[in-house]
Amino acid sequence: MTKNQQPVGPLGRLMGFFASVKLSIALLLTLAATSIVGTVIPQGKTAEFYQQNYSAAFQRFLEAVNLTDMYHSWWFQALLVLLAVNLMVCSVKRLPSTWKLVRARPAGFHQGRFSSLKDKEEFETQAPVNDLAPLVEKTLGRRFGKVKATPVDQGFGYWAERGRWTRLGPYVIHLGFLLTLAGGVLGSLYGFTGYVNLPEGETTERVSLRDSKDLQPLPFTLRCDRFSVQFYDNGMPKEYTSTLTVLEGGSPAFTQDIEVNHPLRHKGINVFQSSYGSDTSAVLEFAHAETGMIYEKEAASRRMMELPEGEGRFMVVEFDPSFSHQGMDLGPVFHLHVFPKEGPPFQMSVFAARPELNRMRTAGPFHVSAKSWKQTYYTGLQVTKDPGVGMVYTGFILIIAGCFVTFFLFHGQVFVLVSGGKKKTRVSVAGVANKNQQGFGIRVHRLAEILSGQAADLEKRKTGREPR
Amino acid sequence: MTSSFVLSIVTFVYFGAMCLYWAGWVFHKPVLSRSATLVAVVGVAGNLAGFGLRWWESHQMGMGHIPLTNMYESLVFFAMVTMAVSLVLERQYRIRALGAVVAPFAFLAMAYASLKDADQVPLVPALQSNWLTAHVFTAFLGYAGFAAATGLAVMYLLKKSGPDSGIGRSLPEAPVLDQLMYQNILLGFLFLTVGIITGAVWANSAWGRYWSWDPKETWSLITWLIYAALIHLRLVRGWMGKRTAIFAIVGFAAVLFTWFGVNYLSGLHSYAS
Ligand code: HEM
Repeated sequence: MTKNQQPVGPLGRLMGFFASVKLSIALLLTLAATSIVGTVIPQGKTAEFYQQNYSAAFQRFLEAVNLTDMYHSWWFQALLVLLAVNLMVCSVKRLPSTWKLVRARPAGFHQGRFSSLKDKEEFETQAPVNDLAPLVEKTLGRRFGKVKATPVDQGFGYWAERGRWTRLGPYVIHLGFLLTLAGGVLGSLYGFTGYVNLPEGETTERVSLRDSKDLQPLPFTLRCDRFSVQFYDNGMPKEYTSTLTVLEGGSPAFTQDIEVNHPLRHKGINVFQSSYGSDTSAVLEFAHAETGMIYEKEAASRRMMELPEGEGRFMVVEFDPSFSHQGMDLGPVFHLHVFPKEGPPFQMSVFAARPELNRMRTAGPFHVSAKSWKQTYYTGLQVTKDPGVGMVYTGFILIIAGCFVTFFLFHGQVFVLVSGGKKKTRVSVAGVANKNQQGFGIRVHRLAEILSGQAADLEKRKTGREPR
Repeated sequence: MTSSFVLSIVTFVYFGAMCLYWAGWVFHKPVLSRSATLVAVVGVAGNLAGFGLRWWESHQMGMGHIPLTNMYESLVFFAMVTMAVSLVLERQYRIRALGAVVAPFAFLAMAYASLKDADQVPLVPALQSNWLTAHVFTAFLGYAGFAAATGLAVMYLLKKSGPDSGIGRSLPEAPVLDQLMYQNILLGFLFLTVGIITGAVWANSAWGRYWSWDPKETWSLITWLIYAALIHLRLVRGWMGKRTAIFAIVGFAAVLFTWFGVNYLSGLHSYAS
């Protein structure tokens, strides 16, 4: 850590500020604390919602600090930007020294470093140095990778290491985090989330945007050929399926079934099964009360239609499959708004199954009855484009990989010194790790045990008797 | 025998294990502690059996999904993993008393589960995804790691406040507890990270948005940020001991809120709309 380097000048102090971990920790905790607010105050509701639930003064406060859409407010985004800058400055400042360490030539056995290590494991044997040394080198190599041997006074020093590259772990995490943030920004700048209700048989070239209610044109035409729902025995929906056809330049390019969790993807646009509903269209019969003239009109829901003979207009506002009045089931009913040529608009109901009830009220001069009707399904599609997803997913992978490396792997170095005179050989083993010293200590201990066993074998073979 | 019957027995087994752990700890009777471990092993075995049975029942009913889809099932899974993690640590590090602080989590989770609806319902379309399984599985492994860390943090604080008292005497040395607590936090953090990410990938495959700031998502992020701050405090600022132990307990409060508290928040939403 380069803590003792005093930053110079205002720029240096600014860099020092942005490179500090205190700042990152403060930002992480501030983000955590402020995020709570948005989970307590419902976000992105209508103005009426806040009017109903909060006092006028509190509403003004919410407005003033953007708490009704706080995760997109300037100050929350500023915190995120600050965090990103913090992370970048910090990484840029620290990476060179870590990189140098990772790329440096292997250190090798160094008497001074070895002497300074604590917790050495030592044993003595009668096996001669020159016989034991190659064994040590082999065992060490098998357990810890490439070994460097250095001749020392009356023996050999060995050194091996593993996992030096794991020191890059935190940088991988941080890069992943930055990529995730960047992907999020990319998606919010160049992507969209829209939806469309598409009745069977109809096509669309645009969708309504979720946030602004504007229309977003699509780079192709989408047609819903069929929609279906499968149910479980208990009546819960099991699967929604829409058969969609993509049309390019007016002619069908391909057809695909989509289900929840299995969207259609084409030209960077994703089409998700999101909801469904049904519309009812009816053939209504208009009988002139005086002349007896009969007209038929096909009426779809919520579409303004002309009454016959220019008598005004009407709209089917609602279809109720079973209308009940004072406890009596009157069967399917169409509710109409009627706008007569003269006089004020009014509402009336057309009883599909009880034609006698239709004589109570007329639309202009007409008695209305329902000759037939049919229900058509529409599929509710969520349509999104998010050019940032690839970047976000790359970030995800880096974060997970980086966490694994940083948390559970480490850089460990092992030193073995084999030295001695004619009669006795001393072997001492020590290890040092940048993390998880305890866990590494256990491995070093095991290495020492193995070496001592090998030395004992060797001694036995040489001297023909059990070592003491 | 139904799975919910097996699992309600497991609740009592965990209760028994908890009492034995406590008795063994307070009275320094190794016999009690050893039998506590045995009872806890039986509990985990029963828990696993109940989990497997429930999975099988789901197949019998024509649904066939791994029981990781609702509150009841998540509690059952959490209890199983938490107790298992505790037993592994107990064996590896010879900390008998660990069960005394972790078994209550397992017991309370199972007791709370018994208040919840155990009916098996088929999955609505959005939940029929392998990402959901991966999401819940990893998130709860993370919670189990944090629960064990919290138990260790409590033990650390007890050890510090009275190393030679009746309660503190049978505990391992404080630095060992500190290190173990931290390692469990790292384990929990890795799995929480994977849990959040698989949740985001699932949301993206079902709705086309990997993040939408809904309260549950946001609270999991809050938890993640708290533990991330803790990790930095420790790795870079050298925090150890009491401060990190308290921090770990605060972090676990956030875990619990993410798991249970959020339901009361979204309650506000559904009432409003
Ligand atoms: C996924 C979770 C994260 C983990 C596990 C993690 C891990 C680490 C580690 C191990 C270090 C120490 C590096 C070293 O010793 O050389 C570190 C440093 C740092 N981390 Fe993170 N990090 C995470 C997320 C973040 C986030 C979200 C930020 C946000 C800004 C951040 C900001 C920093 C900064 C600024 C440093 C620099 C420390 C210094 O310069 O001394 N980290 N991180």
